[in-house]
Amino acid sequence: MNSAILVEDLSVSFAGQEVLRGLNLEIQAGGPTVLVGRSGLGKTTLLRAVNRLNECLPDCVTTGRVRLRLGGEWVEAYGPATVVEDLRKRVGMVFQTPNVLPVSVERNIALPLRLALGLSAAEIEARQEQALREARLWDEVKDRLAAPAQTLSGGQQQRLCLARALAFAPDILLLDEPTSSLDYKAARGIEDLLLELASRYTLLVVSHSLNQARRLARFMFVLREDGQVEAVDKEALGDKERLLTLMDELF
Amino acid sequence: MAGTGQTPSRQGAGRGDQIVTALLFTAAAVSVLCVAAIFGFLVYFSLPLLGGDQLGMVLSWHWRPTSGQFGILPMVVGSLLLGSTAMLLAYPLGVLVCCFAHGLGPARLAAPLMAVIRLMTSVPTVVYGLVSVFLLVPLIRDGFSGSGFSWLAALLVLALLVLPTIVLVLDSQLRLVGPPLRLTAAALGLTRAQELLHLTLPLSARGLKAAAVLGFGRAVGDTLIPLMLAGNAAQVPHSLLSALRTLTAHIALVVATDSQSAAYNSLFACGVILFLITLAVNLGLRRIRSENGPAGLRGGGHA
Ligand SMILES: Nc1ncnc2c1ncn2[C@@H]1O[C@H](COP(=O)(O)OP(=O)(O)OP(=O)(O)O)[C@@H](O)[C@H]1O
Ligand SMILES: [Mg+2]
Repeated sequence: MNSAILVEDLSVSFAGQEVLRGLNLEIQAGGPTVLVGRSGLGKTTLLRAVNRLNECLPDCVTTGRVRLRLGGEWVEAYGPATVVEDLRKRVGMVFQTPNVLPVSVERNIALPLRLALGLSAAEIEARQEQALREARLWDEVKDRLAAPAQTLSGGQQQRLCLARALAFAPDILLLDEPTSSLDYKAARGIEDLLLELASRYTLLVVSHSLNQARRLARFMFVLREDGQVEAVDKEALGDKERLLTLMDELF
Repeated sequence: MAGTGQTPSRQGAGRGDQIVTALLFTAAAVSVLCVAAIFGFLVYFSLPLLGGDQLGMVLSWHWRPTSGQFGILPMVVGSLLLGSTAMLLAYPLGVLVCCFAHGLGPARLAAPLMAVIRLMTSVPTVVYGLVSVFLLVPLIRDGFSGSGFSWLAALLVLALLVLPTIVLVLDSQLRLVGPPLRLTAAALGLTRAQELLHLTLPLSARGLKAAAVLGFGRAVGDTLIPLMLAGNAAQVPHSLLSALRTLTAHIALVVATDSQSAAYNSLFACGVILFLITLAVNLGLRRIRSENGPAGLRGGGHA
């Protein structure tokens, strides 16, 4: 099997408070890999450690090693030679709460593409439409591309953020509860998309829903109270009862 | 104020709320009344100017009180020239300082830089003036020509004086707009500079305009700097090195030198004009507010 993310001895603390301690994790290419765990244990923090977003937060100290397979090469995420912006362009992230930019729907995708990737207007337009279609949002916004993104509904905003991440065509996608603002049907649509995307990208998905985890996960990890992760073995993943017991223990 | 407690809509409000409301209402009323009173006073005293040939005399280009000429136009020009040139220097500088402190410069220099800027606001204007008389004026005198008391001297120091106003107004806007964008911009692989130049600054258009308007108001309204440094010749300056007189300095000078009553009358016209300039500044500020609406929602319009 070929892995895409290797986390070794990762510790993250905020203002001296340790959230993750000596965590080791190996994520396979493709996936989706689903990460579950009780609220407040550090799932988001773990995702942010992969694209080095924790360092944008005040008083955060990260130690350990994270290696990512980007464009066929291993990149030392915290290595001195790594340009953090280049890394983040190739590791997309969809936040737990939709984080649209306070600009138009269109510019939410076009502006980052132009600034970060330096794409041409034609290329941007093509990617934008494709990404919005993939995120099952195109039909709802095609007539209001110039409207402020904040006028979209919560679920629409979440799909816009997903579309924005997809438009980058990253190597790795970090999805922090990507369907939390969606109804059942819309969530199923996104799940189908993620399963489809797993052939192109490495997907690491945080989920709160057991059913979703079952539908999505090719691999599953549980984040425990002690700041460690534990893999859920293949049989358990296929066995609904065992998974239920596990989730009961967890939540 | 007990009466307000009996109206149905106020029944739920506690006694403390009522007192606070009353205090706030009083404070607001006093401020409005003061402004209205000052304007009324100015207009009332400049009314005599409106009759006969007085107005033409005041709105002329010569100030020679001894020969009965009380033209204030050179001072109007002086105020506008000095105010706008000081802004021309201070505004870009202020925006650059803000950009430096908000991501273009090294992060560890941001806090000391802003501390210095805040410190600058607490330096009394007269100290700036005094130091400049002994440092800047001789420099201009030796470096160029003339007495050194000039448009140039006044504009340099005035620019320094309004710089903190511009920086602090813009800074408070950037502090509001910037942090919510931080994580998103970073996650999208934008550099701090890109984030600032393409997101935070364009979304802070309101603060950019407010800083310009407030800075200009401050520059036009300042009295001591032009009085101490601009040379005060009642003329339209023909170069940066010649002297000029502003409306503010003019009022101070005439009041201090105890002129005849006709000279005094013209001062009220100066006051009205200054007031109108300030008013224009304030209306400009109001228009900016209404243009942009609530900060959160309308950002999409211009970014
Ligand atoms: N910026 C921050 N500053 C200080 N503490 C933080 C910060 N971000 C996260 N933490 C702390 O780290 C811990 C883990 O937070 P995190 O957001 O990773 O949890 P989570 O597992 O994603 O929870 P949820 O399921 O509720 O989203 C929490 O105790 C939280 O208080
Ligand atoms: Mg979370």
